[in-house]
Amino acid sequence: MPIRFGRVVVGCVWLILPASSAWASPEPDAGDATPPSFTTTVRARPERPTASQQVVDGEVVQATAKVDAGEALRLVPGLVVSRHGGEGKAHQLFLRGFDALHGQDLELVVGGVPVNAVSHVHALGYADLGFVVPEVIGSLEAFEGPYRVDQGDFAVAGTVRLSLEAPGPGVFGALSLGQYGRRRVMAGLAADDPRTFAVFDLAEGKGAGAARGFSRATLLAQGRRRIADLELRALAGAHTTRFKSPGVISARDHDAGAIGFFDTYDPHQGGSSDRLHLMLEAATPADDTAASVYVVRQNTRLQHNFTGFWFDPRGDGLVQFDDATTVGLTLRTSGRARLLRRPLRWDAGGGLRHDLLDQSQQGYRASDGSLLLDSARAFDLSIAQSHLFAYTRARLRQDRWQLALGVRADAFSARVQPPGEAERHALGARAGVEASVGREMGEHSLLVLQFGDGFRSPHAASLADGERTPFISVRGAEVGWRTETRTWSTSLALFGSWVGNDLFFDHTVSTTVPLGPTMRGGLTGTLALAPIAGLRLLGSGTVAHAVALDTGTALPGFMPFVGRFDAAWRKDLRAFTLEAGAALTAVGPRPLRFGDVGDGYLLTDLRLTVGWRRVGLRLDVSNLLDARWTDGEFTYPSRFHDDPTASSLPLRHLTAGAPRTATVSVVLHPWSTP
Amino acid sequence: MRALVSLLLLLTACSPLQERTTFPLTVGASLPSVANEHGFEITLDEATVELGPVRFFEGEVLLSSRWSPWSLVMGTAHAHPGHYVPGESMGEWLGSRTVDLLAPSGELGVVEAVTGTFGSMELTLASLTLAGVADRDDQSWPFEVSLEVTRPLEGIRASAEVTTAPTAALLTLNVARWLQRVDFSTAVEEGGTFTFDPTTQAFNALSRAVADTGAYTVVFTRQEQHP
Repeated sequence: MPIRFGRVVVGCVWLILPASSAWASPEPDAGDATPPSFTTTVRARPERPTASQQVVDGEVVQATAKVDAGEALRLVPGLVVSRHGGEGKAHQLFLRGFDALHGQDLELVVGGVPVNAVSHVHALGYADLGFVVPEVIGSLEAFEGPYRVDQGDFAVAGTVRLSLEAPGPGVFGALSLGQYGRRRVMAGLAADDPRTFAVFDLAEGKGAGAARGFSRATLLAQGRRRIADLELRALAGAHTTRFKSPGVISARDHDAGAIGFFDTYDPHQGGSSDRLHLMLEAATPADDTAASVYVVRQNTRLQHNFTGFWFDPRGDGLVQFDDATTVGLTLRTSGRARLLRRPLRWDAGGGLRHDLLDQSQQGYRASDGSLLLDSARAFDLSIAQSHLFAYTRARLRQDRWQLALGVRADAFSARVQPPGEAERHALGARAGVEASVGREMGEHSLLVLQFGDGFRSPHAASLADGERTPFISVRGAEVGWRTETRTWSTSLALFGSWVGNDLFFDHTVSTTVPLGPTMRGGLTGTLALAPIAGLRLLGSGTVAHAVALDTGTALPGFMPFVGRFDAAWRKDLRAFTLEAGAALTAVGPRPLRFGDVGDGYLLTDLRLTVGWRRVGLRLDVSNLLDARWTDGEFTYPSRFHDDPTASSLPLRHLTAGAPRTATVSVVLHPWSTP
Repeated sequence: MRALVSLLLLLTACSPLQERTTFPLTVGASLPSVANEHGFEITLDEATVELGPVRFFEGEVLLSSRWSPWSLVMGTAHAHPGHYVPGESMGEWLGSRTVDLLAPSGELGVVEAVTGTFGSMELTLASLTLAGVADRDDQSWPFEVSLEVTRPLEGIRASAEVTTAPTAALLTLNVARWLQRVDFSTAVEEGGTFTFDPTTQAFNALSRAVADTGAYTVVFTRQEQHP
């Protein structure tokens, strides 16, 4: 099976008949009763993906060791996934010079359902992938940059879409025991079409170090059925998790031996999350027209203390509640036309999303975790937010050239009701474009210049009454090269983007605050190989830089260099199968405030599976070399000790990366794997 | 790898907005040289203070030289004159040292700081001891007083634009101002030496003067770089 690190879509079909049919159709013999046979060769020119468009198929996703779906995002070139808040909080994401925080700059979609929360109490675009069971990730499709009009809210650095699919038809499952009290049961059932499945996942663990325990339960199901001329799909799920979080430690305290690398100042940190979702989709068999509706209920509680006793001698800990109900409708359609006698493909779409939010924030005592009813940082809000959008795009091919032009319009409204205060309303609209021109260079290569005009919705609580231009605007451009053959592919892209009003997370107020206009640029490259049967190699590297335009100074916190190498190998030996997956992740030191430089790290993960018929024994080892690494790094002042000689300077704070962790699993494979 | 990151940042001419720096903090004293308000000529035999920690902040003192009357209309209100706006510190020396104000030995310590606009200082003056003789009208009052200060002194004016260029700061304690309003005739005699009982005017005057941020000045100077 040809190995491709990209998506191939049949755009045009040339039917080559005359020559082949002449070879294949002999002159009929008057006495020969055998009917004539014909050979028809169909040669298709696929629509080539751009350099910033990547698809990682399920085989590669399942070959890598991971504890949750969020870690699967590491397979996207240049994407760094950080877990600094405990195994239950949304990951922090970095891509192409962006510190996307918990999702403010990266649009995540799972099975057609948007994941990013709007106006979340903790961070804009909060995207929690905890409800996705890793074994049913069918593929990751990434669009880096804001170059497509069908990318939605929060697609500032890009979009990642996860499709869901069981590993094969039949029963599948895993029973896992790992270090640090990790235990997991996963069981699923899939139809002959593995896109119809149901899976249940139950896991718990204590974590390596203080205050890292978690427990979760997930039920996820997807069904597909053909009725008349429609393909119907339903996606439903329920997820609940409770987790502890160690929070940050001061690098100065750690260097002085006052706190261990895996310790915590405040054992009351952590949270919980509960989610219910349902999506129904109807599409034509050719998938050229589809309509879907979805509803999501998500309740999140986060408890953290980033600063100790800086603001309040009773403790700076905050409990943040976010209760959200989201309903949405999306429509899309595509077709063909002719423009000046040239074949043209078009697609269009639209939809709406409505969110109802109840949020609150209160302080809690460091001594016992009880709520402070008179905290100066307490607030209570109700928000109703709507987003309507429509887009259309046309793609034209002429000889070796391909042109695309698209437009998109978005309208946004928000109503904010603080208790005891006047209600605030804001309404705004924006328009954006997509433009690209590409040229095929030879049989296997494509050079594309792209421009995109994206956006991010603001936090409703930051809007003034009557505000009319609430969107954060993003403009991106890229020139990229991609070469794809049957056995290898490579891409190289030079990119840049401008953000009109960027945000950063201020730990002293525990939410995002304005930063002003920013600009980012860099270079990203990928290489995928299948040198021998059963072996797939994937490599990527991204270098990036980011500046604040108001001051001309480097932005802190982004990742200047990200490298990733994945290897997946499979060998079938009669009744036995051997599978191995290895991953190397290299992240360069990142710039922090005040000229500080954070620690870089190199992590190695390993997955080994020995299977006999449908049963396998699997060993997962993350951080194989037991590297001591810092997952999150931040610079701000804090006071974790009641000590008049404690520093008031902004200092480095960090969250510890997990040490080497091994997990052994007994796995039950489905009847067959694709 | 850190060098590579720094090189990349340098090549792109994008320095951070603020950088870490250090500068020495020295202590000096302004001693009494003329009679105080009550006509006492004071000669000090001992003047020691326990100083530290010291912190610098961006917040300006309300009545600093950069204060503008417009701030009363347009600016941020303050509770009372002299109140400074706290925040993360711009610089700090977290040590503690006993300083002889009659013969200050120079550097108090090295301040760890970040570049930017400095507006004020917070000084912890844990205790002080003064001993000497106060003379008036051919009478002498040999005295010895020790004072403990329970709260850090906030809002001492310390204005400067600190960069990574070599800098030094001089903190001057105005001992003369401490003793300016002391009426030694109210001091209590104990075994030939006068002390400042907490109920006396002398104690009250000294306490209030020590707590007055106007008795402290901070001057920043650029240091010449030696080849």
